[in-house]
Amino acid sequence: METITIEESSKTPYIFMDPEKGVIEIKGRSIPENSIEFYKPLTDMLTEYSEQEMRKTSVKIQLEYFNTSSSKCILDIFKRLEVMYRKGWTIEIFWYYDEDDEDMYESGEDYQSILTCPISLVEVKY
Amino acid sequence: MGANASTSVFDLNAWMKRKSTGSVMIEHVGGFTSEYIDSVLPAVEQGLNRFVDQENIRKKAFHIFVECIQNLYHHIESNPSLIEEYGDDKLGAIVLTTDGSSCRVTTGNFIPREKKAILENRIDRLNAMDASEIKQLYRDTINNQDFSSKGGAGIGMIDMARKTGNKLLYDFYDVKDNPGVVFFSFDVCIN
Repeated sequence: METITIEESSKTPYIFMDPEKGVIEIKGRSIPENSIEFYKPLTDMLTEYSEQEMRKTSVKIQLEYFNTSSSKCILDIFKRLEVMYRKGWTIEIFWYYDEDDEDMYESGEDYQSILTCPISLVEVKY
Repeated sequence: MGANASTSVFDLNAWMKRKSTGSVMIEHVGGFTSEYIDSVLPAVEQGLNRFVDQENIRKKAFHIFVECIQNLYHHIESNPSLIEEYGDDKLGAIVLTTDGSSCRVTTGNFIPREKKAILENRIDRLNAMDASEIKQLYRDTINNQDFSSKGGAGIGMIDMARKTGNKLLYDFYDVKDNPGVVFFSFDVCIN
């Protein structure tokens, strides 16, 4: 499996996935009109990745803004990771939020409340 | 909450004028393409940075504006009966205003009359909930509801009510010689 890198744009985040190292990163703004289409390369790769040999997987999400359709896509990504977690994979998810961004913190709490897979909320100070 | 469901003839220009009070950062009547959204978002940020002091208000207002404009992008339907009066079969409107300490995002679009009751019920239900009930509804909906056929997550209005902590304001207006259509006017205040 090859690495995925999608560069950041004004409406879409930087996306990186290295299947060999078990690293996924999403960073920036996620406000595309068609979030399903945007996240499809990552969700497709996760499907393939989940069929590989188990390995520790670290996921870092650091968003400035995200629209509601992106929030649903991110939940879909987390649910795929949760299936792997239940099969015994070591999955760590880090949800970064700016120290004064209460909405982003609450979004992290939403995902924590929905999923059993552990999510760490990490405050970013300036 | 929908108290002004009018039987008078709807006047789009007068409606725009009423909604464009205070400092107007964005006002647009027409179509909502992806290209238009790309072009307007930098202007929204510039306007917010120029006119709004508090960063948390700027941030929430930008978020609400994105949700509102993308709602229009996804939900404005072609309606040939509008061409005679408005010269376009597919149009909506958006206005972003501020008084410096708070912002308001207003949208308007024509919808089939049969959708009026669904929207009315959805908004009235949200407006009757307290913050903890809205939070729980958001979590239940994002977790259990599939994407709509138009690619929406079905949580836009819930998210707006939750993020602003304010009631969502709306009106419906009858359209001249067009009983199958109503104009849906929607306001979200950020303060």
